[in-house]
Amino acid sequence: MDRNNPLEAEFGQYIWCELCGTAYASAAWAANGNTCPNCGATLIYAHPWEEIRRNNPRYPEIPVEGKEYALYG
Amino acid sequence: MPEANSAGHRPERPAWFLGLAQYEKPDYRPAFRQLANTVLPLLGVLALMFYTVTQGISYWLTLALSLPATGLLMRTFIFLHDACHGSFFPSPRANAALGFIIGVLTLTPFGQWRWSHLKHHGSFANLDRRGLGDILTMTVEEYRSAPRREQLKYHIYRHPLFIFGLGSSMLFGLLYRFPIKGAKRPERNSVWLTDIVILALVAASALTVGVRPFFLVMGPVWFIAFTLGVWLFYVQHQFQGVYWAREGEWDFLRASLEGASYYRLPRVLQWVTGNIGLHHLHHLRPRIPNYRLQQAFDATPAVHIIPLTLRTSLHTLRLNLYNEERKRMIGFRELAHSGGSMDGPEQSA
Repeated sequence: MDRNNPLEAEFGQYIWCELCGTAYASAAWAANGNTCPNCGATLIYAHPWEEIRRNNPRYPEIPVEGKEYALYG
Repeated sequence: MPEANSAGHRPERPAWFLGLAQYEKPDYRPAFRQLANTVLPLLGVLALMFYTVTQGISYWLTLALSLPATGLLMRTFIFLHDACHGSFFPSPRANAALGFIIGVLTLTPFGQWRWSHLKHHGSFANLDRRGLGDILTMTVEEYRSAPRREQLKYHIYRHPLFIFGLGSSMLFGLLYRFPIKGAKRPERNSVWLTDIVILALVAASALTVGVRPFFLVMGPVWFIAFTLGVWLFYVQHQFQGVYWAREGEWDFLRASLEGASYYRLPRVLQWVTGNIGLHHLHHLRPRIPNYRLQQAFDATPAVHIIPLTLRTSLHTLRLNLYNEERKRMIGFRELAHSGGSMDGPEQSA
């Protein structure tokens, strides 16, 4: 875990964006000014990837960055 | 509380906001029901219009039929809008397919529209991130320091006859035919693919009913639908008391509840517009499908804000500029009466 990245501490290694449905590494969000690298959504729309996986056990442990994942797949 | 992007943590979310998540689940049943009660009648009315045109029946009848066709086409566009948010069908692929098909019907390249629309959701009411997927709005300061030519251009752009007439048709008919600045390859491809299918449809109509009947039918339907569509988009973010803020101060909940309107329409119009008048709620939770918005609204008193009505919405036509100092929209006339000064009549009032 990258302790210098506060997003990773809060959300884990990957973040799912509620606005566009894509998942990216927390580091990519951090590098994009703490917004979604795909659509520019702010952190209000950010969810830990693990939280999305709990509802969708078939989703991979490591998401394909940029791929759209349904909230209820 | 201002949005805490720079601090790197998610802003606090109140319980009622979290409670709205239960309405975000898309469902095939209401989705197909809506397609059946909207797209089928739309195709029926369009067929009837083609019949009147090709059989030489009075064009006034064709024009009269264009009104229900327009309403149904507008409602169909709302399904594209839902698909763009991944909220119409549960499957992203099904949403993309539906969005593309409706995009052809409404001359809207789904991929590019989706991209710019999501950018709009990420940046609405933010004065530092204007320019993509929104109605161009200058601040008083920007307007006053702009060269005369730019002021004139802005005047023309904000004139109701332009923005809802020629402008809306130019947007859908011409500008949407080309990729916009910053669009990446998938978005650009969606533009070209939509254009090709539209051309194919026009060619097919030329070989069957003829190009002239095609435009005699689709012309008025598109024109009225684009005009009313742009009007809806306009009143959603251009009204007195609207919230705008600079990046550091921008607050998501305030932006949603005060930077987007609740446009309460008569029941028939609410049906036609697929509940999009509940726009503040849509901005709070973009994944709530149109077929659940009213239910979510009824169950959440925190989103029961003062609505715009048909009558009060007309007042928004006089608003042209955002006065950052006073945090309110003003019109060109008001600015002129204040002698160009931002502290004119408001101070003495």
